[in-house]
Amino acid sequence: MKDVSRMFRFGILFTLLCSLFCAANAQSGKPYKKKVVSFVDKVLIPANIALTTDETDYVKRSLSRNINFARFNYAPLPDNITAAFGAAVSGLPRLSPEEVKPLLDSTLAPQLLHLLDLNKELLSKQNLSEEDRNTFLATKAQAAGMNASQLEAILNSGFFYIPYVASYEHRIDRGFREVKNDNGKVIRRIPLTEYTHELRLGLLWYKLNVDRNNNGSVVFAGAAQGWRDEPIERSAVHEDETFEGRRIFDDGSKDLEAFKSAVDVSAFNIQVETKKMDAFALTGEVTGTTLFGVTLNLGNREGVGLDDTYWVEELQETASGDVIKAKRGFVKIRQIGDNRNDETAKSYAQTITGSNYSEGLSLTELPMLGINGVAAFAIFPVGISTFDNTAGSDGFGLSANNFSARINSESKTAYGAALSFQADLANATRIPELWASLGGAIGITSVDGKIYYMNGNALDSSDIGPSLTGYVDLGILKKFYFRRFGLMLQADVKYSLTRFSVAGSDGSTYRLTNGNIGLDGKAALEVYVTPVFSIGAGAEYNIFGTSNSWSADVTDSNNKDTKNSSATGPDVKYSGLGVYFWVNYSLPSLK
Amino acid sequence: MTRKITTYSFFISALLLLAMTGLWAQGNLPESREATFIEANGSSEVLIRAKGIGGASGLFGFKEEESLKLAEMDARKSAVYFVLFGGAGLDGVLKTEEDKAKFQSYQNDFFANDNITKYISWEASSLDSRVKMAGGDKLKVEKQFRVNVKAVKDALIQHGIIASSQEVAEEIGLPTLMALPAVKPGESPLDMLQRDPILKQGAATIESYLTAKKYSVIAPEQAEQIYQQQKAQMTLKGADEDMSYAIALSVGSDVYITYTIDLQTRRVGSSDVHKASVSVRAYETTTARLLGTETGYSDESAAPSEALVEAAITNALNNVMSRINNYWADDMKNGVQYKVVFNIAGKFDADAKDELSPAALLSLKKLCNRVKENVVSDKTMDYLVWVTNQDYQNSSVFFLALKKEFAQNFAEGKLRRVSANRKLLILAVE
Repeated sequence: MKDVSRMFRFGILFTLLCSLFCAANAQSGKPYKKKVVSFVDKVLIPANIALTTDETDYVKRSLSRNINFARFNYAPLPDNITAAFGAAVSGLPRLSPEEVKPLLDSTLAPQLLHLLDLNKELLSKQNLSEEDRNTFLATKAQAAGMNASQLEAILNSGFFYIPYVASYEHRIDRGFREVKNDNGKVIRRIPLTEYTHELRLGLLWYKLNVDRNNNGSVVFAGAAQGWRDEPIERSAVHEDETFEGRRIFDDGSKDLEAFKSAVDVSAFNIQVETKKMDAFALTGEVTGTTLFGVTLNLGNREGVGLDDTYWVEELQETASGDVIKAKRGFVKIRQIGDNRNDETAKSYAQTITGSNYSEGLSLTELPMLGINGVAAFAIFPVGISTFDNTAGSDGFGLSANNFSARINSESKTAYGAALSFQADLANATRIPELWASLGGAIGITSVDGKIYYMNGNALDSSDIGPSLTGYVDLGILKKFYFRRFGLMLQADVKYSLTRFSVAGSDGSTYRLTNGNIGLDGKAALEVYVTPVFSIGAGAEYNIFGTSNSWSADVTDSNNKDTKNSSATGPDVKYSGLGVYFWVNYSLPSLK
Repeated sequence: MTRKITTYSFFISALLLLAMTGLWAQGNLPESREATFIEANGSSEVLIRAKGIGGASGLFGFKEEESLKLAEMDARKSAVYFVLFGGAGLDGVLKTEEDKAKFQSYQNDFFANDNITKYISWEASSLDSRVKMAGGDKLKVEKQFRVNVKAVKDALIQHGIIASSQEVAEEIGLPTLMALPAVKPGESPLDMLQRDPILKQGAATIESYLTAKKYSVIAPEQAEQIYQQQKAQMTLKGADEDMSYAIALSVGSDVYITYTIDLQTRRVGSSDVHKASVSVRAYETTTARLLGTETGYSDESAAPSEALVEAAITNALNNVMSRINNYWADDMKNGVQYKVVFNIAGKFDADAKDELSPAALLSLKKLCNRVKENVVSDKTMDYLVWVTNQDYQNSSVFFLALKKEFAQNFAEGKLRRVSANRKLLILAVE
């Protein structure tokens, strides 16, 4: 564990040093040159951690699936070579980049060098610039031979990645799920087993360096982590019995499901972290400008995606004569050039911030997850009509601890907080700025009314007052940007819920709950503050039917529940206008 | 008071005029003038990487697009400026101070935006670098251009700034050249050519370059025959050791070029990459004086060696030829040059021998514009002469005139022609 932490710290330090070096030596936007990537079919696991074969296999598969970028050329290594490495690394007393490096040097580096050597002419051709094609050798001599520096560049473009597990915890908790009847009485406690996996998974990246004597050696290039501060935690529950009491065999599938979920989230995060590494960040150049954007010399060959964000940067000379790279603004990809089939094809990016762009400015990718978190202050409609069922003895029709209610005046609005997650669908649908949204809100609506109940033999009452209301919604969102200002149109399916919960003076808790499904449409304005942070405000209109079907339940002082799921209560209408003010943050990783 | 105002007005006007003159002097000339030579693309184009500076501001501040256009235009001008005035690795088209002085009156028009683009035959579509300069009001860009040197020269010829090689050729003729590989003392370059295909490729490249520029070139195969015929008569100092000199003299080339090819090979992975470096030296035939030397390099590449040799030679020749042309233009002002060697073959007494040298000198001075005595010994008298008389441009006619004149100055002996070509007269005194 200590070794892996040390490994992690070393990795971060090395990555920082490499980043500084790369920043100081940044080129002015020359197109990204593809790296040749090879991977090791082995997961480095500390001795105190045990993973099953299925689990290890899944880690490899998930990583292989997620680290599958168009910006890489993949060079799979022969099984016998990676097996030799795997066997050698198993015998290591400690796992650290320094310990692993000599094994890579002796087992994998020569093989990757051999693969690169075999393919260097072909790979060099991909990287030929227009200037290279107009040299004397290329034009008059019509020599297809690449120059030495191009060939050396290919030999030095090889990278390995090795998955590693920094920490892992597997917990099994046993519990119960209570099943209640319509009256709220617990009629069955179903035993269950909850499997929880906490995982810190990452990739170690090594670069192959080839010297002038054609000797290859590897250098640790950095680590891409699948977690931030806390490990990735995922759980799954297996019910051990049916309702009837029949035992359900636990084949371990739920356990594995939780593990896989933790691995998938980690792998997804690793994908973004890998793109952020200086060696792999896409860089390009502005090749032209239009009224609303720029064209750039990257395309589908490098794996450019719709809605990808790029910093526009410029080299600037300081007063002391140093040259620094300054950010001018950022752009977002709206059309992807098909430079796989047409080398001259360019991509188009819309200018979001910055102005006065011109040819020659450099572009650097800002890798993002494609998932935003939105937190809002919400004012949404909750119309509860006046109501009185205190006359007569029916109330809400509970078999015991029955109660009734009177609502004196209509309430119309709730105030609260909303939280949603937006996922970018642009690359799946080929429609820029098309998002899926899943969220919810919780708020308080003030109800002027009372609950009436029997306290002993006397009729007692308690104020209803501020009551909880909220909703969950799922929808589609389309954004239209003009510079940093975005017009958003959203449509959702919404499920709204309102609950009155009153503590009676008899020690019982009286609850009324109403839920309804409807639709909403939203129009809003969002403004980019930074590429990952924006603020917005909008209005929505909800369309719901009127509902007076409530669930009335009471928990008495002995914790006994009584429930009526089909009580008639006040009319609830969730239709109407809502207003939101929010902040939108592009999540750096999944948790 | 009036006097004071007048004085101040005068000074202010003078200052303004000075400033305007300064501005006008800059005019269309490039601001940056930074450029580097990359390689020669054949005999008429060169690949240059040039920097340009440009800036434009308006009511709303710095104008990016316009500044970029200005900087790119400045880079084009800097590339052509480099070709005109030369720099590391490339001799300029304007070689003499006279040429440069003549160019000054034309430079503003030459560097006009719509004129300068005529000389750019290719331009990279992307920038090598782009930096906003300190102060934020100018951009500095770097880009590659292929400049058509021939077009530049034609424009200067048209405006009378430099003489066209055709005019020179019509007036004084172009030098006759021969290319041979450099060899160790005593070795035969002709034998080396036959043995080494790379050397043969080098000779072919040089000949191709020279014939493209309409020089008269003597091929090694021609030289071989003539040299074999003349070998016996080549009793010249140094002829035994430096066969290139001997061969050049025997065939009568004005200038001979020797070249050394060095091919370095190393492995990148499993591929062999080569780098050719070719040293080219040009000599005045009559004196074996070095006129110019340049080393050209090729890129380090997996291309065939022959292609790399051609690239390296082309890079070197561009500069060497300009030096040869300079030499030729200067030398031809003095007239046609001959090396005249008197071998004292007859038996003469001491007094007669004493009179021989003055007689030869007097005879030559009578006929020639300029005479330089190299060696005078008991057996040999070696002179360099320059002849401007049009009648004596032919070595046979010159010999007859010399024979007649010598007969008047030295009654005891006669001149006999042993060997004569356009550069060398070997005469016997009998």
